[in-house]
Amino acid sequence: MTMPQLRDLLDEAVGDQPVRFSTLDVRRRSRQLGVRRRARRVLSGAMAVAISVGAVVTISGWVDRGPSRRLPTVATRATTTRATLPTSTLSPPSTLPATSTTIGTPSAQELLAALQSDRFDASSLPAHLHVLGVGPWHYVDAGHPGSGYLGSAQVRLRSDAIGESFAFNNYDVFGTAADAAAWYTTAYSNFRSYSPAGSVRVPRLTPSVNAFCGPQAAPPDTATCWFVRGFTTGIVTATIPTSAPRDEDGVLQAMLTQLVALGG
Amino acid sequence: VTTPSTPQVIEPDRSGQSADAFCTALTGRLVGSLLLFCGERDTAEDVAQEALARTMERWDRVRVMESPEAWTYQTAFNIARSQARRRLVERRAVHRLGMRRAAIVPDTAAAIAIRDAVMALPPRQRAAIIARFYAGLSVDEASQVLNCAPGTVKSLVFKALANLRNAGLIDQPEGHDDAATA
Repeated sequence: MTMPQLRDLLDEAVGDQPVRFSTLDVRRRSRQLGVRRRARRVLSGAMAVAISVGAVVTISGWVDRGPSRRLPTVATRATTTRATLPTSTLSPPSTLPATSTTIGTPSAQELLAALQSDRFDASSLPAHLHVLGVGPWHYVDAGHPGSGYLGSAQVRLRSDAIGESFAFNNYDVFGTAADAAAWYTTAYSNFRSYSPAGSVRVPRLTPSVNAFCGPQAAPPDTATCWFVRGFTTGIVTATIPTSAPRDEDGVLQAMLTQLVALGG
Repeated sequence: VTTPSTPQVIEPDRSGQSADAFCTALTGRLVGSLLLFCGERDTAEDVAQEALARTMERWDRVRVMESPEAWTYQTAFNIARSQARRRLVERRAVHRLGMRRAAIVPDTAAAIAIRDAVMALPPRQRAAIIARFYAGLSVDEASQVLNCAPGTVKSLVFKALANLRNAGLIDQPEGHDDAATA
């Protein structure tokens, strides 16, 4: 008796209310699905073409330089990609297309290599933090539009402290301290308002790290290099003399010089 | 001996069957199954419509499958599960705003009680019971819907029946009941 009884009960639970849509509605919705699917196909096809063209341009640029010149490890001019958007920016992902230019010079290479040494650990960094490496310099045109942003370099840190996690941290460089402060305030506000629970976590910080990452006032007449730690409120400023060149190479060189100096 | 009532099962005669005919025949049971699974008629109809639209859009591939019904039910349950969180947020918002959705025909107290008992089951047990005893799918088809082995379907049905018995919805078995493993 149990199974027929259950079937009857389920039938009774559903009732005999008429369904409020017709096959015509289903067909209409199915057509919409088809249109959306075709649109996705077209978009992904266009994306594949764009990537292929980018690759061809990059390769042809390398071929044009000739085999006698070695391709710098970091230097690739005017490579357009979204993947190089700084990951540590606290604002929600921008829908604007990001154009980044990776720039490198021999002197910058030396400075980058220097930064990857243990000398950075001798700086005011807490003893349990280690610099694992410094990534390439990126200039992100659409990353922070109108904010005086000049560019970013990525630094990887490792922490020995349990529960303290660092991923990729960006040095974001702004033209003025006011620009950086304004951007940071907005980004922090966005982070507080829109941080998706579960995918972003605020690591627990020891007092020494908090002290290191706390906002610091920038001296007058300097451009400010802001060290923005991913996911947190920490900022460290390094300063670049205003006499330093303002082109991207100059800013990078000045910033890295400053960082190396910070590393002792 | 009580003869089990035969659930409405669509015969798999699909030679030349149109997508429209398939959807028309499946709509009632699909909406009912989703009503039991989701607990809300609006949601059930929306999910059913989406699942049927996907079936219709892919009809050339779906029609040659061993069980298009199982594929459609599987799609529908997947959509229902993926939309569950969004629906929860929506329900909270509706509750917060003091809005209530009006049913076309008021449900009977018994219908509400049965639905509540079914809704109290864990999702996979609920889906297994609905697939087997409301949608009338075979164990193999139900296993496709639930994306698990046939033995798991039997186990889920067994546990679901035990829960429904504990809830007082169905009688305790007098003897060995092999319906769950049929």
